[in-house]
Amino acid sequence: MRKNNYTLEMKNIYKSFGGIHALIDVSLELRHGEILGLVGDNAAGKSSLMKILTGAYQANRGRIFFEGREVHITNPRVSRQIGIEMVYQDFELCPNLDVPANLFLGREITGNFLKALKNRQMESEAVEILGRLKIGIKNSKIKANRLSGGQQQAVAIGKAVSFNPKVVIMDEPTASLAVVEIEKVLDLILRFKEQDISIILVTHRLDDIFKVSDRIFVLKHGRRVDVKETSQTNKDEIIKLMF
Amino acid sequence: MHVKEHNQQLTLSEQREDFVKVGFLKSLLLHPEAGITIAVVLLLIIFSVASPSFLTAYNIFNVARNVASYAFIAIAQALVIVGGGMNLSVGAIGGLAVVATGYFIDVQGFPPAIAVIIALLVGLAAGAFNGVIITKIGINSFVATLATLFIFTGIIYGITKGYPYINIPKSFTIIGRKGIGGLPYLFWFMVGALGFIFYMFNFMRFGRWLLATGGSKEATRVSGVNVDRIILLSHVLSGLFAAIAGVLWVSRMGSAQPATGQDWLIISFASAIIGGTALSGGSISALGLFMGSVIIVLIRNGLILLGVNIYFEQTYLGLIILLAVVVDRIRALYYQMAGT
Repeated sequence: MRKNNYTLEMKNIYKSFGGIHALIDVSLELRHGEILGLVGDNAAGKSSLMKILTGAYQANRGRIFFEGREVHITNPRVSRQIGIEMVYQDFELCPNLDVPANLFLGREITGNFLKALKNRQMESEAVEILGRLKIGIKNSKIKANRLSGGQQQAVAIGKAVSFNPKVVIMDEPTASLAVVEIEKVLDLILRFKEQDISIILVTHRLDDIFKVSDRIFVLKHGRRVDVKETSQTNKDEIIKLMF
Repeated sequence: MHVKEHNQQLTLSEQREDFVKVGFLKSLLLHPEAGITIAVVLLLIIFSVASPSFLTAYNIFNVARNVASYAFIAIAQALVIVGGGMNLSVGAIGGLAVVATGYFIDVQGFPPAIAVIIALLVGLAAGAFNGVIITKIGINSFVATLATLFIFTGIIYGITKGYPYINIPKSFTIIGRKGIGGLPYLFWFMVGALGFIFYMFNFMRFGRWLLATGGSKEATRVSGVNVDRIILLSHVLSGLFAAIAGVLWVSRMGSAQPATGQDWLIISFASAIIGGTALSGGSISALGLFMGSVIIVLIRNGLILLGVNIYFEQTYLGLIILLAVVVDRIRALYYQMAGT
């Protein structure tokens, strides 16, 4: 039994850079399997807040609880061990490697003999992962640079998800995509809900947020302004809160 | 059930259907080895028709020996190019190994085996020095290895004062001068080394990570790979292969000449790039390195046999590199177009 409804809780996070207050007592709660949209104007503190979660920054004050237990995310490795994965705007893939090699980069499956890479096993598992996420890539041996932007982002997301994370942070995942591809990536994001993965979606695109999110978290000048149920708000209200 | 169906569909379409559709010329661009192999065959035909001495057992043996030496030099360069860098000091490291081998055999009277081990360690250390400057101080590989090129070359001349070591025992030259199965021992060494390169980039984590680093440093880093360590290790390996080339050179020549390695820079780039090692990093092919070495040796050898003014040799090599880079560029452009 979990103590509460939250996968992740950030309590009274304060972060400053020199004299600049980037985050002022921000508290954020992420429910199990929910998609939380994180919005705010430039320099509202969105990326600082997320970097504290991924271990790139450390908060000056405040506490973080993961499934009810306090955690100290001192570096990116700790963040990943806890079960937090990050998907970036520019699909962090190696263009010269094929899809399985990208999916398993950094944690390749090796055999007992000479620790040789088990390429076939990785390939079939990659096909399995892509199939599970319904990512439409016909030829998994294809190199990443020959995939479309949407396919690349799908693979990058698939990579994050195949680490079996509990939380996935997506930083502007649709910003570099063509319109038709955005829909596909949003569909993919929606499918994670079925897999009990909580998602924080950071984006400028309010359309995206309203399509997929359960709640919307608004930051302004480093402070939490409000959190709204998506079904009970509208774009105008969110924009008013942001500015 | 639904997922299973989907999987089957994916597995069935794994045949490289995207390559089937493209034409012959385009597939040559996509498979660099194929193009080089055709070039090698053409060169072989041209030279054997043009010169009766080309297809003699003596010349074949000699060509094979040169190919082997060049392949080691090409490997030394390709190992760092693939990670997105370069090593301008390959020749100087080779020269250091040559001098170390000669010095410890001739001056110190060590058994050749010990001298060889020391020479290889010198190569490892020189490569590690390059790697540390590049990764720990953060200087790009061009500048770092340009500096060490002079540092190492200076050491070579400081120690030898320009004189070669000539008292190399006959037993040591067997490796470089004799052979088995009609081909020199050096050639078989090369086959082993290229086999290792193939294995490393297809079945070893290090090889995969080095390829990944050459493809995208950032993506590799966020995947949890210690990129600096990979680059450092690639320079250590580069130093080792340059040193192996140096040791084998001594065994072939029967003496340790301090000037050894001065023309390796152009050889290393030419063989590696013609062999399909993209200058931008992220690709390498063992077969390509072999074919690239064959082409360079054939051209040098063929030019002599054809009686061309050999003083222009560097110009020809430079032109060949230029041609290879242009092909490399066309290949990259084609990939970009195919990707969209």
